[in-house]
Amino acid sequence: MTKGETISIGEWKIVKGEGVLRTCGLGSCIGIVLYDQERVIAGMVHVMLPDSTKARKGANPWRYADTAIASLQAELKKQGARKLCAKMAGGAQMFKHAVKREFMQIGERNAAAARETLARLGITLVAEDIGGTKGRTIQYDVKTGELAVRTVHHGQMIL
Amino acid sequence: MRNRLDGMKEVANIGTGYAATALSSLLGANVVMDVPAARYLCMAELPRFRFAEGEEIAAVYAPLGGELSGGMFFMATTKAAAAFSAYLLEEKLKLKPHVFAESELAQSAFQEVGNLLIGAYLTALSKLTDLKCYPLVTELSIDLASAVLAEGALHLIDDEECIVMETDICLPHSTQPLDGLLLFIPDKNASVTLTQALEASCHD
Repeated sequence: MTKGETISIGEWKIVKGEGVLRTCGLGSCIGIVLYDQERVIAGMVHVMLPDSTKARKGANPWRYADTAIASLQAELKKQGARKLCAKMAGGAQMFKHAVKREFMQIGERNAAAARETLARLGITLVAEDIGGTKGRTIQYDVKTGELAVRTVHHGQMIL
Repeated sequence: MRNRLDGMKEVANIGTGYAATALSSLLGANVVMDVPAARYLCMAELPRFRFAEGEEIAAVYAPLGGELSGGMFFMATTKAAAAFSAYLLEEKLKLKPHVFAESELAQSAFQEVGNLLIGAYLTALSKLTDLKCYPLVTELSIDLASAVLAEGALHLIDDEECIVMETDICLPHSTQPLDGLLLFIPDKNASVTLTQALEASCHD
């Protein structure tokens, strides 16, 4: 297997030159990849909720779409990235009924917050696979720029 | 104050006892449940907990209502879930895992097992601690273990770690291995509330 890093909820990793970034399962969470294809550098973050301004003080910024994307952008720039693009996947609704009101449509809200944040930060969203009812795993290859999205019964698609 | 994990283990023990009795009578067989374990997990560890990466499972999930918040899962590999359903439907040999994925009847049988276990477990907690605590609603998902578990982490968003109480369930004398996993994941406030209520009930 190619050298790689696997991230879980609220985690982030960066690879340079070669290697892959993977997430373990995304349900309503979203995996976002920011990359600079020219400089062969990419970072991935796994966010749970849309909006850190609704969180209590001192909340972990890597768990919220708005703050996580901005933080990842800053880390990538520190490591030499310039023009960043994005790909993302996730935001499913795995449970239709068994969710508390505050988590209704959380997948869609995560996706909306991610799109908005990317636009605000001037990052082009190149591709996304959002929604549905099934969990996903994703893998990004920094060399090829391909994001492979897998679901249990529907195989793999490449973004 | 006693160690919180010890308190939680006691809570899990009582929940498990009720759940085992309820499942034994539903299946008409002697269900074996291991002594439950309680452990701290950091948030990032929860989706990777117990199951292999990318493993497909069947899970009955219930967010908690009442005075405790958190969630409960009853999970099994799809193979074991098929076996549970077959046992309940008395179709011991016919039900294969791929059939489980397509059979509403089989899925609803498995969900029934989950409902029963979760309901009995929480009833025991309510009785023990005098706290109102029940499943808000239960729902079945057949999907990646890690994605399902991550949904249970949504309520824990403000916590850096959580306490997970796990009980392994098996039916030793059936023709197919029947193994399931019952998980109780209270949020931080709920685990404090539970520990305090338990202490109070011990002093009565």
